Amino acid sequence: MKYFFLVISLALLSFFFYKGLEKDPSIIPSNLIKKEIPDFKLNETKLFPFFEKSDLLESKDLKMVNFFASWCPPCKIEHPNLIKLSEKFPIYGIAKKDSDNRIYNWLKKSGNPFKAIGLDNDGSASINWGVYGLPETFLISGDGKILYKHVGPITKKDLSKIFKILARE
Amino acid sequence: MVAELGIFFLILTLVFSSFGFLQPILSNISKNILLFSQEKLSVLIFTFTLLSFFCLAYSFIVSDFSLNVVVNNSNTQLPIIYKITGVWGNHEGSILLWLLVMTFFGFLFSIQNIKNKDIKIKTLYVQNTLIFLIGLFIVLTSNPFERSFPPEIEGSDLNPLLQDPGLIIHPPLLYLGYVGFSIVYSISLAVLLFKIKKDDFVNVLRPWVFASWTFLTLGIGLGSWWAYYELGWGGFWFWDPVENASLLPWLTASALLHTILISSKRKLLLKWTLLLSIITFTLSLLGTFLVRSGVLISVHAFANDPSRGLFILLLLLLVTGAGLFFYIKSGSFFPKKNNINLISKEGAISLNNIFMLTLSFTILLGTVYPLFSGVIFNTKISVGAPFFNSILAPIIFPLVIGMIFGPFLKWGNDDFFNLINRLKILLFIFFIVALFVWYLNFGGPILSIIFFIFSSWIVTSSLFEFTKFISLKPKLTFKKVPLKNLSQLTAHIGIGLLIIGATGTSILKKEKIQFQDPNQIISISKFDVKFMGVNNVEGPNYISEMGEFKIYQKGEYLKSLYPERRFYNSSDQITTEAAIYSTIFGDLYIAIGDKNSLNDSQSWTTRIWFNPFTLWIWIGVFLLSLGGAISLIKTLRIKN
Repeated sequence: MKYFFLVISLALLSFFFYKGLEKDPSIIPSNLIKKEIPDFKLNETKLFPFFEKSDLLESKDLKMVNFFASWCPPCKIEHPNLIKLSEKFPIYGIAKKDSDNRIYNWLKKSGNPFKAIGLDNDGSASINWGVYGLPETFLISGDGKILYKHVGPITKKDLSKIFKILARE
Repeated sequence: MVAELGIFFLILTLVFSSFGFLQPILSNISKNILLFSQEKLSVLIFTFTLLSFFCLAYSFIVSDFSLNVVVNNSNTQLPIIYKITGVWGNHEGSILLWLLVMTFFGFLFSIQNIKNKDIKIKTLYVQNTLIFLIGLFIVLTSNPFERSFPPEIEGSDLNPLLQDPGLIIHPPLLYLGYVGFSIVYSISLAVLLFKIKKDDFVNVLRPWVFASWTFLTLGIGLGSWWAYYELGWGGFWFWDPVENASLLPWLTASALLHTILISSKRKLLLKWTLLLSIITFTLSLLGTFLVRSGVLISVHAFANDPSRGLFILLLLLLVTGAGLFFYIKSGSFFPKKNNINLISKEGAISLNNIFMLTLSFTILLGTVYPLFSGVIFNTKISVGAPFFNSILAPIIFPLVIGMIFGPFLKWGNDDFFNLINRLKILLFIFFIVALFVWYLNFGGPILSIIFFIFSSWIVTSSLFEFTKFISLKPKLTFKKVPLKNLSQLTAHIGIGLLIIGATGTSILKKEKIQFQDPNQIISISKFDVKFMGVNNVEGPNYISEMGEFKIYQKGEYLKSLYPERRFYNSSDQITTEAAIYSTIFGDLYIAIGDKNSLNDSQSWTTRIWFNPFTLWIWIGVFLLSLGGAISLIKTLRIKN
């Protein structure tokens, strides 16, 4: 009997820790998942095509919205993977606190995955989308609902995760 | 070739350490089996692990990119010192370091002169078994000598955050603390497992408790110092899971090192001493599990692998289970004469134990709660600084009061009114000090005033005890000051300064974040900070944006500060190097952020803090570990 508590408490603890091992604490669910994309307002660039909320709603295909900036190093890490993804569906870029010239120079050098680009100069679009760091990426369904949110650079490992979600849809 | 030697030595370690548990089993079967002596085994095991460690260090120094760990954590551009520290700047190497420290402690224990040979050999049984388990963990899940094929031409660099002087000795010191408790655990388990009747195990335990505690204190202090200047967040403690994981065994070990005074002086609380020893090492392992398995989010990003997590979990279960099982089983083995009066030195130390453990388990709860809520409710929550800060205050107050009056209490039995009578003068001094502190901080936050009063009481009471002691023995020379008083005095004053520093840095800090134009002056506390601009500077393996700030006080130029943002070429990472101007009254702390990208302006984001009394934290930590070191010297001196 005196070992009963020992066994029970150790068993319970190991159960929790074991279960915890299966979970990835870095995945933070977004409140926007399965909801329609939020309202937002962007500034036009001089050199790239522009988009608005209505553009995202109009096309009935899958698409991606990617928050990036030319000054953000992790964005450069995910860049090649974005280019791969852009072959599958259109990617709309929202550049946070960035300038036309710098975006142009960067994309000219490393390729342009974006169908259209809008500037988020005052950070209001980022707030509406619940973006708290760069880069962040949203996968949007044909009917304008957010399927998946990715925080941080998209790595090769994440690509397969995204393709799995696509296969489900 | 060297790598193969490394794994070879590692396997030898594994083979020889297995005698830790094989020997007692085999000698049960037949008394005539000739086996190694455990002492000699410990020397062998340590030598092999050391050789294996040298092999890994060599691979790092010559940049052998045919090894996975070297490819992922080193680079030819890296300065030689960081090539060496890269050995433990990754999971595999750092666990090898853990094993090395563990075998080192086993080795030290085996050559120590201990009268009771029985305790010695049986402790080594347990220690060598533990070494076997950790060795198995390395070979099965974390082999640092794994080859990468085909070999790479260039490595991907050591994490830039780890390329820092503070990180050179922080992990080894922390491990000397953490792993030192493995010996403490081994002694305790040996006593329980083999029912060693002599109660002189306390004296065997003592030096190891003090040594490990001192190293752990230094290790935690150093880590905190690193976080303070390297992360650029302006604070020294962030209640990160990894920080908490190091604090947990420190708290129980602090309880242990007070309890061991009772158990060695009055032969009381013997079983409790054993339990605390077991809990402390268990918490060290739990910390390792939390850190290495990736079940919690932390600023300490380690490469995670669920199979490793599972192995550590099993190890944790085994160590905790065995410890607690034999603890319960020993039942009435120890005398139950624990009559302790509340108003006595033992009473005060018992109270210290209760509050230390309460603190420790509350912090544990806060640390693992996100995990529980994830598993039970499937919700993501984070437990942050507000929780920890709010639970800290109510537990710390009684702890501090005990610390102020405890040292004045007599052993055995004391009387409350008698105590008051003895301390008349001190109480009067307390009153004056409180008024003075209150006057200095008039109008400030009430919590900070209370903390300042309490901490200055700790310092005054320690000094008071000391002067009283000296006045009793007028012919006292410095050499004759008993080390016991000196260690307690130093450590308690250390805690006092630590609380003052922590209060200043957390409650009273001032913060200004802004876009600052060149030549613009920002005033904070008594300083005027003038921004001079940003230059690009090239380092050995990074390019840095170095800001220049001129500090003025009352119009007078004091010093220039150069905070940096470093861009590391090979890993595309940015680190912040804050610039700090330390004075005894507080630190001026500057970090720079991004250039303002709007309107092509020349302004930069600058973050300027004034952190009152931060220096006192580091002095406090130093005094704490000094106190521990003095206790260690004293214990060793008694033995000889």
